Amino acid sequence: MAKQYEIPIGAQHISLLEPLHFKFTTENEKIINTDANIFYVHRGIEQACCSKFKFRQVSFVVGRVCGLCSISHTTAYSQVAEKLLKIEIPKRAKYLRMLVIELDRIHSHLLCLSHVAENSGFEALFMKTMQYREFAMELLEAVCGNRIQYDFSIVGGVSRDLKPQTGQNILDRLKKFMPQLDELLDIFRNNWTLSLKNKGAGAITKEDAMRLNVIGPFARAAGLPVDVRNEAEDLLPWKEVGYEMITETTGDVYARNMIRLREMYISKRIIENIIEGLPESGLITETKAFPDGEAVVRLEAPRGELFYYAKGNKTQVLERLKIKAPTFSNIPAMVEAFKGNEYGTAPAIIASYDPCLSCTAR
Amino acid sequence: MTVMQHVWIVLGVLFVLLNIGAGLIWVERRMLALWQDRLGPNRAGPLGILIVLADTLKLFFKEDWVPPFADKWVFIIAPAIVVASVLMSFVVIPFAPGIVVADLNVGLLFFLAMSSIGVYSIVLGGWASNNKYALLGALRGASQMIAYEVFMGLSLMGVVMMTGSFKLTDIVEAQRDMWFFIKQPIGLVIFFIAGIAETHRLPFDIPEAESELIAGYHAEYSGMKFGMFFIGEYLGITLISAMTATIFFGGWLGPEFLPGWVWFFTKTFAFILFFILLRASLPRPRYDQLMEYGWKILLPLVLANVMITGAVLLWLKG
Amino acid sequence: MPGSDVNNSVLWPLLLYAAVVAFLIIAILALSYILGQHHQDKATDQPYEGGIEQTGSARLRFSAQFYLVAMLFVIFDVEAVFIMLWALGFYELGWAGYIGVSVFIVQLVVVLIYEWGIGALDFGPDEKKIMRAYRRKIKNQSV
Repeated sequence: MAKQYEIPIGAQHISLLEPLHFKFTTENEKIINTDANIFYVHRGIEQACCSKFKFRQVSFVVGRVCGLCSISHTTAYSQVAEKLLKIEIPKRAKYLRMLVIELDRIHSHLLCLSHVAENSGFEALFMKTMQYREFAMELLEAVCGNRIQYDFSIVGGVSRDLKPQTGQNILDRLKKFMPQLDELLDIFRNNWTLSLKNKGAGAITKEDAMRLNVIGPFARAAGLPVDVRNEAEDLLPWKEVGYEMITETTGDVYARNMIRLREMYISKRIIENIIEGLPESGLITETKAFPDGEAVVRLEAPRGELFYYAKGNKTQVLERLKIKAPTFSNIPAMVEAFKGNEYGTAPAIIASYDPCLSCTAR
Repeated sequence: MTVMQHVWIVLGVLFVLLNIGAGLIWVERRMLALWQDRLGPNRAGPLGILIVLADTLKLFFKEDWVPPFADKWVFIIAPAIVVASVLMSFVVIPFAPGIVVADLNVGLLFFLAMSSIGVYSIVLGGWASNNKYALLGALRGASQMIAYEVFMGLSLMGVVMMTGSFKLTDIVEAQRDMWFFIKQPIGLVIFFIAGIAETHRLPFDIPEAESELIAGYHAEYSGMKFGMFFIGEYLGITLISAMTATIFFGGWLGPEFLPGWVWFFTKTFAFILFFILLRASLPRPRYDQLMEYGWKILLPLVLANVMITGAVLLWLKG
Repeated sequence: MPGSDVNNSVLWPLLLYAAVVAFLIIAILALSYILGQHHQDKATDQPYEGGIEQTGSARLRFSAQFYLVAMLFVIFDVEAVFIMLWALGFYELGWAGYIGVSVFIVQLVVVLIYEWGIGALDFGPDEKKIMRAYRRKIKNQSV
């Protein structure tokens, strides 16, 4: 009988949404080392994008990379394709893209929070959060026509316009959502058992976060101000619509919950500003050109920075498309943050990373 | 009473208990759904009540698998122990005046002993499964259950002092004037908390701990053997509810317009619903938090309860 | 009939009840064995470990803390038995018995405080100690 033993979580485990496999080396149920194995769902999407599909179709293909941050993938791809085509899209299209990204962020953050609650053993809160998330899905359906996998961004602009009536509907529903969000914030912040379980669990310091190249809410929870929306990129004018950086300091599960909850307030503000100040213009910039040259695009998906690289060769089909999903960058830090925690808190920690393995393995 | 009456009581009690145990599957799922704004099972039969039948039949036809790496006989005996020990505990509970299988004069001790035997099923099941999750779940479950066993026994001492008997019919009769929960509020609270821990229900379902240990000690069980753990758990809820009703809420006593057994089952079901409400609303603490809570808060509290009850009773008497 | 010390209830229903319970359990187990399916596949005989192959035996060396819990249980449950007996004869023993049991319970509390003090009630192992030992071990290996 060895003093240390290994407990695996995954690839098939009840608290995992995604096929990833962690192997914990534990001593007395205390995790002292972790090993991760992530590429269980390789689907060959990058290769398909560079061989089977024309570049205008690819935006629909990359939308299938992920179920939750579909809009981030389509938008990032559209932007990289527009860079290759050297076109500027209408301002209204930019605003609508931001609108859908922020709605998507609300829905993704709520999903993540609900799973943190579930994995901390709080079934009631899980149900509640999932119930509150429904409104975001309905609004996304009203705007894009689909609850998930919305092919809203296309190369050159967006595929649908926002009707004034739908805009008003969004504002009304958001107003109704605010008390619910306050309630969630209150529960996550003040519930005794939940905060006992979440505070100090899976903590990572700011220095470690910087060293391990952490991005997204994970980094912001550790106090690292990393957000593509904060950087002066002209592709999407975040700062015009009221974006604000949010950071916490402790870097544990609790801080990550807080980041997600507080970011939803910002998202709500952005959405309201967008709908009120929606500029009048066309929706799409037409062009007959073919993609040429190389370009990269960074975009803040709900989980962190999404990175797209594309290379065109003046034909219908791209020569190379590279997707780097936010979860991929966070994996070294994930492995690190487990150390020293009880095995019992591991599921909540995993959920709080909000890992998206379908994005990562593509 | 005649021999036949005794036989009918025995068979009747078992019949009712097994039906309650199975029926709680439906009750729990419907009530959870109600409290969480969902629908719950509503397809099979009126209000979905036939889900009970469907579930049971399904469990019977599932693969009855004994893992080759497990200790075969221990693996098979473990689920039998849990059902047997819980069912045996009901022997001493008076459902109505005269309707009790065996009115032992050590009734309360018999109940405590039987619920202690329940620990064996978890330890043996978890160990025999030869699976890491099962073993960890079993160890946690065992330590949780034996710890709360202590508090459960001590929390009932106030009642025993007032009654001067371990016999449950005596305890019920002693509550003619006033139910014991008024005189023993701390005892009630601690007994109920310990009862939740004994039945390892949410919020204290650490041995099962769905999210980390998958299903805990019964991770390797399938088919009706799993079903027996399941029924054992539901019967455990019923047992604790029935004991709470008997010891602290006057058992079959109640206004005369309804027969005693109606009062008994009404009270029991109220507590069963409370169990389900707890599950629907509370999160699960961590294992070490649960244990520290028990030893550091409940134990001093329960000892203080015994001392204060004794002093007050003696002072009142003389 | 409060106060009746003689056990005047019949005991044979208890035995009948136990027999019926035993019969039921055997019937359920047998029925599920007969009705349930049996199959043999490549991975049927492997323990479940999250869908991957087993890493190491499940006969683990587990925390000594569980042993401590068992010891605590023995201490407190055996003493609970004495309290139970006292509770049964509570009125007959009167104040003398009360004082006796008070001394006894105070001893229990002293034991509790002592155990609290030496850290027997701090469940879960000390994370910092383990991590320090682990780092030292890693360092020794790399040297």
